[in-house]
Amino acid sequence: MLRYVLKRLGVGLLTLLVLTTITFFMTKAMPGSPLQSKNVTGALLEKMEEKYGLNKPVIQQYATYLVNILSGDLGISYKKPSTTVSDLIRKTFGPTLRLGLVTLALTLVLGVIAGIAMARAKSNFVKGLWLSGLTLGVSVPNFIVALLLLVIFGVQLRFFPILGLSTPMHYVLPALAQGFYPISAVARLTQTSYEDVMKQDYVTFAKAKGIHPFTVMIRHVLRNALLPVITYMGPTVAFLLTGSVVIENLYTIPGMGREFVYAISNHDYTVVMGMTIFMGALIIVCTITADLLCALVDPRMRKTL
Amino acid sequence: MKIKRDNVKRWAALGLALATAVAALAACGGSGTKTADTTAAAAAGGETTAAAAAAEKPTVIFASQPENGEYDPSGATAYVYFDYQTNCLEGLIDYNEQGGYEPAAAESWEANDDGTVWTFHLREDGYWSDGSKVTSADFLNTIKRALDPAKGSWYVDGLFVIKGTEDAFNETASVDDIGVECPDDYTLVFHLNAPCAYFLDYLRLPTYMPSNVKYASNENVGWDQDPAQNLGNGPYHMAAHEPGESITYTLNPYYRKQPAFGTIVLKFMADEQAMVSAYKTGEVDVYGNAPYYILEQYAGKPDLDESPVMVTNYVLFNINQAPFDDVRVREAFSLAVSRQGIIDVIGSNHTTDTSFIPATFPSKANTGKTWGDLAGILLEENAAKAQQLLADAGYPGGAGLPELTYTYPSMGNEADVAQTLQQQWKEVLGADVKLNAMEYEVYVDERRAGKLQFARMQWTGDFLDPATWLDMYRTGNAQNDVDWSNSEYDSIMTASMSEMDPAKREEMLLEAERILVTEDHIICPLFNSSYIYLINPKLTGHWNHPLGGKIWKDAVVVQ
Repeated sequence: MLRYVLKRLGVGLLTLLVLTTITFFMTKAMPGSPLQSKNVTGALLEKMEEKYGLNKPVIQQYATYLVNILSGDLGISYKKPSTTVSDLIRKTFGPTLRLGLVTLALTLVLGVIAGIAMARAKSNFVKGLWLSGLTLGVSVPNFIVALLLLVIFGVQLRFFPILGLSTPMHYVLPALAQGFYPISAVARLTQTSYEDVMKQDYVTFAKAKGIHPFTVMIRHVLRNALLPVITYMGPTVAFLLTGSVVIENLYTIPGMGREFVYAISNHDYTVVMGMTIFMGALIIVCTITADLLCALVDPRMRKTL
Repeated sequence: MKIKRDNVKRWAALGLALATAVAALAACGGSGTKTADTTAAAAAGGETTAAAAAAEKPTVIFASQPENGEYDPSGATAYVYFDYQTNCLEGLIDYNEQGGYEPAAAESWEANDDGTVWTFHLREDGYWSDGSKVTSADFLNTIKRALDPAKGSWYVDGLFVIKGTEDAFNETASVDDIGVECPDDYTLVFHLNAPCAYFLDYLRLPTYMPSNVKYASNENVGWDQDPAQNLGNGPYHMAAHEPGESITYTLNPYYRKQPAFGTIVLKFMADEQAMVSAYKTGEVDVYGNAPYYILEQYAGKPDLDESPVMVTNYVLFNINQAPFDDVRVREAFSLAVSRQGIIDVIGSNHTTDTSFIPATFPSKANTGKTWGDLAGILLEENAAKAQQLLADAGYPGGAGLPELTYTYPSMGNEADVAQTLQQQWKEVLGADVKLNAMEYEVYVDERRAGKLQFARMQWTGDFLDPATWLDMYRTGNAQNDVDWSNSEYDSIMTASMSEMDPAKREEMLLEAERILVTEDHIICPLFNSSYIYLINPKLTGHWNHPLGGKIWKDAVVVQ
């Protein structure tokens, strides 16, 4: 078990290094200087490039950058000169994390309930209704969902506020918009595997023993039916926690997804790289955690590790 | 966060109680002075009264573009900075709505006969938001800090008219030897390299704003982001700052004329749809720089407003690349353009312009007239002449023209403008022009390097003088991207700088513009623009700054 964890962590670190290297050289290959702007003249530009070390050979810049990362220093933003990249990540990760966790809870609760409801539906008509709803959920892009929710429930009906995240009510629309796809996906996964498990002999056996149907559902069916959901949740959690630029822009949430895209179009190299590394690390951690959780739930997998 | 806000409210309530008590005492004493409402009360009650005053007055919320850059007038100032400067800082002098000069932090000023020495007398009742006095040292502080090359000031070249500043910036002389003197706390003297007829206009640049000597230093990195250290000497000061999220100004209790809005909040928003929606739901009161389709959506409604900007959009020809090395080709392309055709596509918040200085620019010598009145129509649409010129240059009907690529930054309505031009050049000249959209920063980079054959160009005046436009195309100017050099133009520009008679000077500048636009055809002016505003109809009394944008200090809320 420990060996497995260590091995996964090792591979994760290697992935991060590759990611850092690729991002570094790709940002360097981008045309345009981060310090270029309307009013900065030639001489000033040279002085600024000297200050940020941009006039040194690329390999030397790369080496300096790697050494700095090891000491936890991600550098300072070119566009916000008095802000360090670490500060910016800390600042923007907060709102993204809060919205991500709300969406995550929404995804698990609504997704699993919808999945079970669908699996247990007796009439084919009701089943078909569920299915078409969920198919819509996985196929409609989130910017359309986000916009529709904003216009209908925010602007027309005025049910929910649409600017920022200052009260619990502010979370409703962006969380629904962000969760639309994962909720549908989780519901579909739950439904399929719930139906599979229901057909297993041990479920029939448990029912025959006279165990309360609810206990059967929780202990015997759900526990097994949720395995694919947990595997799916690994990357989904990472996806939710890195933020969606569409939703953060539309609902004016000062989160990481928005800042990341903003940094790219602004050529803010250090921010782009710092955030890429942070998001990469987050994705790796989430995937490893999901695998470990699977092992906890499934004794067979625990043995093979 | 929540607790903090409650605290503010509690303190405000306490302050309110105090203020009432003070007022009651004053009434008992029968002193009869009724000025206790603003500065006097603030001075007596201190911060808490000020908070109460701000809390009593309405809060106005603005949708703003995302912040970028610093709030330090000596630093890399960007979009939101100018909003901050307008509300929180007061320069030596200010523009009024007509573009005339008004005393601000300086009560009076005078120049010597040849315009090389300028003396400003600061008002003695100018206060920072912590109650300390604004002195000449605060102005010198910004200038000296901007001259530190590591600071990366965007407007440092606006200082180079002052003796010794350029050497100090290039580190060949000491910053202590520059031509700025502070004989006492309330006197500031500038010694210029040469006479400068428009020196007063420079005073609007960030580098001429004061920054408090107590906190603002280049060693104290980040003071400008911190509300506790960022003091204001204008009607407001920075009260809260959530980077990337919002910035809040509240009243400077020591400012001599207290505005009607107690608090101004700028919400940083990136998405047009989000801003329009937030205006519709009432979550923001003002949305400036709105997209043109708002003109149709809100046509006839009181919410809609416009503020003309001192901006010229034009085509810049690269005289070092074929075929634009031939003046006849440049003229042909200029005459083939139908400006009205462009406006029809991009919306009525734009107006046609054939001069480099915006047609709406207020004349300095002929009060009441605009630059458009004085310059007249410099380029008249003329298809026949354009075709003839192109044929004379050896490309009859566009035959034999080398490959043509017009470059524009991919933003706003630039694609619409480019496509309209492409179509017009095809129809009139038979020229096949390829369009090349570039990301803004890449476009600036390539244009600077002189790599673009012909390109969209836009220049917004930094201050209210034709020099902010015309200086760009002097020989060797850093902004002269196509390296055009015309000795006649240069000598007119040099002579105009020291011409202290506004009428004579305006004649010279008109002549310089004529050379640039109708003789050498370096640029082809297209149109000017206005900012479109959505403003809650309850807010009235705001006025347009002559350079563009709204001034709120005199605005009121009507119920």
